[in-house]
Amino acid sequence: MVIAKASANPVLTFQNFSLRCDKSNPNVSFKQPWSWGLSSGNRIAVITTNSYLRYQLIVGLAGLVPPVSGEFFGEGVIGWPVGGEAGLDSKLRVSHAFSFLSNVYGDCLEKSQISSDEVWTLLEEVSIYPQLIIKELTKTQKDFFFLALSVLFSFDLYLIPKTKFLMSKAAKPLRRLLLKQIEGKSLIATSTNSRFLREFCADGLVLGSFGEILFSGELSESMQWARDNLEGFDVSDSEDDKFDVGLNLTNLETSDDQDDDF
Amino acid sequence: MQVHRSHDIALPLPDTSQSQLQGYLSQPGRPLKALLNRKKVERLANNRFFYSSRPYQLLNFQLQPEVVFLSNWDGDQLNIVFEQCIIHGLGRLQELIQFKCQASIRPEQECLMAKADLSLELSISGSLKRLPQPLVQRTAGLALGLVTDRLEKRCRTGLVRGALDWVEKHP
Repeated sequence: MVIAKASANPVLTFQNFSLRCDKSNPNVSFKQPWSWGLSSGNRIAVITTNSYLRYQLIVGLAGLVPPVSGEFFGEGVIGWPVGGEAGLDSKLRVSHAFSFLSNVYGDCLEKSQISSDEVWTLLEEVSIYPQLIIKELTKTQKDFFFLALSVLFSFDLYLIPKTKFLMSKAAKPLRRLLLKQIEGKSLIATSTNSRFLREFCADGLVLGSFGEILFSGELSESMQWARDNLEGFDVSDSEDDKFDVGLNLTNLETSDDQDDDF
Repeated sequence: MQVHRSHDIALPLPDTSQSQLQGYLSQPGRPLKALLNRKKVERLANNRFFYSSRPYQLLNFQLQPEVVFLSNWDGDQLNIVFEQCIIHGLGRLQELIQFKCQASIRPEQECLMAKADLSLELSISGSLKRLPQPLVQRTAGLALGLVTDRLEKRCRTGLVRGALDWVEKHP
């Protein structure tokens, strides 16, 4: 069972929870607010044709934007979006960023299936050294670094928005570590990359454009249901959402900055 | 956003009576100078004190709080309430963060009971708005943990020693 009104072992519980559904109109939110629990250990692909809703769900659960109504409770630690910047200032050195998160999420490092040494070795293989400053890394190095940081910590719930880099050849060693790390853990993904969904997700949750839960079940059933019933539904091997995680985080209509703030 | 931490400790003081410990705590300057670095405590008017704390190292920040607090003995316990607190070293974050603390020390037979309620109030605007809330909460929790760790250490060393010395001189 992917979702339940009163899940016996929920990793996430929504209570009268609602998010924005339309980028151009802040008054458009869920038709029916969510009040349900997400069972522990589920790896869910959220399937919807509303890309703004996918984005809102991830930034909302990451605590970057407040819900329109209601609240959610996490039983355990919800990670920052995988591959995101975790609130790190780009002026930090790699070593400082690493030690900052290791301090703040020390409990998640202790439980980790991956050692810091393993991650440092991978970072050095792509010429990312402790003394380097984050903003001086190349785009690919930054992607690698932030994905490596996401992989290092053991969270109870992982949020996975975009998977372009995760599913790339360059990220193969990190992908292997992430699969190891998330064993037995919960995951919510909004990626539409079919290869990622097959490798990482077991269940699906099909949402309408206004957050309505239309279908939930095994991933293959959910995708089939979406193919049959959702107009404009498409998954491909080269997905990329048009909403960057980090875009317009404040939900203010006047804000249009392009910072990558995870 | 508010991050709160409450911390209670019992400080065993063998061979002391409740009335002796009441006597010790009844003049706030005495226990406060034992609890804090006496060179950095300055007595102000109306039961108020100014204290410039030794810096705290939090992640990449070096933070130095300066506090004005009110302290009074109410007949049952010593109360300490922070009235003003400026945390130097936070840069642009300074105006977004407010630290509050309320503490009490109560005498019992052969024991002092110390309690502190601390909170950080964070105004989620400006730079803080761009950070995931769990990260901000956890960082604030770490900061409060540093304060309670230091207070506990000071209670277990300076305050206990101060109380025992005073009791010895006032049998």
